[in-house]
Amino acid sequence: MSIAIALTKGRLEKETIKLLEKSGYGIESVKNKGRQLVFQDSQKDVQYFLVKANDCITYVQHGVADIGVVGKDTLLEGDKDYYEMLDLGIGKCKFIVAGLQGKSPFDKVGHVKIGTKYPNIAKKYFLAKGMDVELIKIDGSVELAPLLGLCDGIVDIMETGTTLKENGLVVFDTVCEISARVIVNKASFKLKRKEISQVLEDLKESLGENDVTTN
Amino acid sequence: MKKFAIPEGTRDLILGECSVKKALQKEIEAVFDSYGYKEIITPSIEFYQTYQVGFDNVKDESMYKFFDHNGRILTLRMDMTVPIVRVATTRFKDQKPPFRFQYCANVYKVKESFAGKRNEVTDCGIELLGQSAEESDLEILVCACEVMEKLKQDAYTLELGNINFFHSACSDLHLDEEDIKTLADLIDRKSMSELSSFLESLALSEEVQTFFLQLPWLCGDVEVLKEALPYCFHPKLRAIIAGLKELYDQLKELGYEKHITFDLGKVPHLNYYSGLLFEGFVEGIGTSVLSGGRYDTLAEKFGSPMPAIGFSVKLDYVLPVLEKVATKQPSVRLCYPMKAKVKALQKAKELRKDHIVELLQDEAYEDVCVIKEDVR
Repeated sequence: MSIAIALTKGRLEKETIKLLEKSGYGIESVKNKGRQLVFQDSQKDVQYFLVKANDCITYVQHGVADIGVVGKDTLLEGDKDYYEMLDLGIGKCKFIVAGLQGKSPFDKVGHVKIGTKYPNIAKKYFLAKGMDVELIKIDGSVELAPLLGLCDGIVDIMETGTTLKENGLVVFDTVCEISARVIVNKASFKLKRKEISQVLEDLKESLGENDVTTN
Repeated sequence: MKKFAIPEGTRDLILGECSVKKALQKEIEAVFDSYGYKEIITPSIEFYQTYQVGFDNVKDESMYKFFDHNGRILTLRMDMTVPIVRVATTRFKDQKPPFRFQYCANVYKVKESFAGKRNEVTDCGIELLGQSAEESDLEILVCACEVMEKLKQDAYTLELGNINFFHSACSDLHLDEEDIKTLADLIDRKSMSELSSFLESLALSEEVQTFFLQLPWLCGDVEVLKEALPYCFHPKLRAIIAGLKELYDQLKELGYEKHITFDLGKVPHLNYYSGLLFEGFVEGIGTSVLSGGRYDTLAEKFGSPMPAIGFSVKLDYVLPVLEKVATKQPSVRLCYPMKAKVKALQKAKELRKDHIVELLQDEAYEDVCVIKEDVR
């Protein structure tokens, strides 16, 4: 049975493709993509399409894609109606709480405002900390918000920390680690178990090789 | 200009869509009828309290709530199992079980916005109350297979599990409730990397850790029951596997074996389930279309303990893969001028014995005129 895989565009795209290639998938067409949106594997009965991270979950939940590769950040923020079966260990970064030097939101007395692109994650984190904060949803350049006094701190993704540093922000706490995950549609896993398990096995195998080379 | 929209997560079904849904409903109900299930219609609204008793961990934000004139909280019904148990434990209190009830009704749950999910779906199912697992599990499974056949003749899978497989494994580990909940959720979502780090944090014996790590993978055809045995660290676990194997053998004798698969890591969110669980899948639909299980402790919460099992089909989820149904009756149009109105209605009544007749007043005609419409 043919299976469809939704890949996340952008940050994860290159690394995911590399991993699939290593696992023996004929993914050249995705590498040399023009304006095409759906790609056929040259080796196996697999179809790929490139979508935005949030849409990846949606496509998998609806079963349009059987498998999706998407960042844990997106998974944490969205719905959870899928199987999350494999940690690919690529696209690593973390969620952090940051703010202006010496002005930690954790020490502030009174009303605390937090700016973030990820209100659900931030809400859960502060709830677990027992802190009552006001969340302000910001769509881009979250670092700007504390600088201009819109909020006392931010919850955001940090890869290298350069952007934070350049803007004079410091990290106060790590919320959680993030990496790319393989998610699977529940019904697909029941009906195309063999094919899907094969993909998972293939990916797992080349992950093992990764470990050997990096260690 | 005013625009009129419908609330999120709801749908209008029009023309052909309705006939497909109605036809499917009739077919399924015919199966239920043939098993002796009697239809029950309950109100669309229930007291909030009824659901609070029914579901232990009801998610408040997923209920439609409003108030009655006394300030009591009402909800749109979230499922049909709880109302039916309410009826069975009140109106049928003094009668001797078993009770076989069927229903087809819209149920309501508020889902997250914009994910394309339904807040209103039609649930068509049965509940069999007052019979133990030995007495009725097989009957219910066979009935579920027959219903799946109506959906997709041969291309369906019915997946079995047992909630107690997870619960018995947890029973002697002295985990607190919160940890069990987290564990259940991670296993149910087959969230492998979180599961493995969570297990490490619990400080369990290696044997137990391996069991839970393996649990999400213990799914597939009947072979999986054998594969699972070496991981079973508790005699109760082996007993559950033996029970599932017995059901499989019986289903095999009845000729259903190629549709049966297992998932031992099935841990549903509805916590009234107490034993066998099953879900039906058809190709082309991203979620289960049929689901059910045993809930032996639910009736007790309503004051009269009795074992029970049931399942339902979410009709709306199946519609996309069903073929259009053709109307069998021939259809005609009956045109008439104003002066022949009464005559037209007389003629129409005659024709309606074996035709669908649509009336159309049109002064272009001198007298009543029947126009055949073959293409509809």
